[in-house]
Amino acid sequence: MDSENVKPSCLDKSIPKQRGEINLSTYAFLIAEMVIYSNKQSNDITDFKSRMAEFGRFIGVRLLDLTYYRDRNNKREVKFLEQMNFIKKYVWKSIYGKEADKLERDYSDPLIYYIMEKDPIINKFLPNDRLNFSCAYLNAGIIEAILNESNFPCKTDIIHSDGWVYYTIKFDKSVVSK
Amino acid sequence: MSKTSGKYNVTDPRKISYELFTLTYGSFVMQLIKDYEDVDEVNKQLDTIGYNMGNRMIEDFLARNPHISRCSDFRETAEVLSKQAFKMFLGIQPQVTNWNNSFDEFSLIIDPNPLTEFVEFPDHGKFEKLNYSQIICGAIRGALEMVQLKVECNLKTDQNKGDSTYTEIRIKFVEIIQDAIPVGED
Repeated sequence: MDSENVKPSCLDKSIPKQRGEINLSTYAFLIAEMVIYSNKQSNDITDFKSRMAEFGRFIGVRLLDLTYYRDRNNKREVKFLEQMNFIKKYVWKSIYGKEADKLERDYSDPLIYYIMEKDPIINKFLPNDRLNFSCAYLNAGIIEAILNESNFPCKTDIIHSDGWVYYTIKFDKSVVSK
Repeated sequence: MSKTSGKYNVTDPRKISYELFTLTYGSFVMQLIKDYEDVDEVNKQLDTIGYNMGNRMIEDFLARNPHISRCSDFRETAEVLSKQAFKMFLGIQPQVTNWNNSFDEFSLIIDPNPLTEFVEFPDHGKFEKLNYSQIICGAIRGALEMVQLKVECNLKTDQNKGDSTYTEIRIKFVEIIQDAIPVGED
């Protein structure tokens, strides 16, 4: 082994069982900067959305295995409904300390499902007239990455309504017909 | 600093998982690298972003810790910075050390550094010069500037550099700013 490899890799370290916590303000300041940055870099609102979702995807992919490992004893879900439930329950609990509020399906379109959350923490400091710049796009990115990674291809978006955020999940046809 | 109990001294109970924070920061740095491609430019951006955060964080800090008054010397500033500010915002207490003889320059040893958890750099050395935790330096500089302290703040070692396992930040007192200039968005 040459001298460069002496430094222990982060894969050699064990994953801490206990999760640490950090002040919400710090996180809010960071998110604020990310929103400002994304807004500066993007030409329009669609661009902004996809940039925020991209941040979320980066996080989601990495959260998936961590949450499986820690909360589910590596037990994986094979049905998309259960996978959504897993996100609602375990993933949300592990990152925000509470579950998302509801899981519902669209009554007209069998491909569309909603994870619903009342006043998401990430939007706590967002004024109501700035919902265009919703930080919840990041959450949508997390959900999308987790579902895509577990082989339930889908696209996500969000709808704001009266303090509620609906994470719209539109699955690929192949998923629902399984 | 007076008593540490009382109604207004309750630290903020609202918390989120620090892994989410670490991952979010990671995604941000990745995006910056993608957008700028040049490591030096990324360092500069991280510093500015930190500076902007620091500008706002100091207000939050003082509002939640009303018992903290003006520091009498730079050593007190260092103590408050490590024992109160870092504790409040990152949940850690870095070690204050390596004072120079005139007591206007010191180091903060951050170990473990919550920002660098899970972080690993590819071997090809392209990111050797990346100051991953530069945002902390920016934040310190930004926050202290709002209380009329001009400091120089540099990352001396970071986890991706050499075989260092901790992060060392060197902070140097420059001057007391006499007239506070309003700070803009950028």
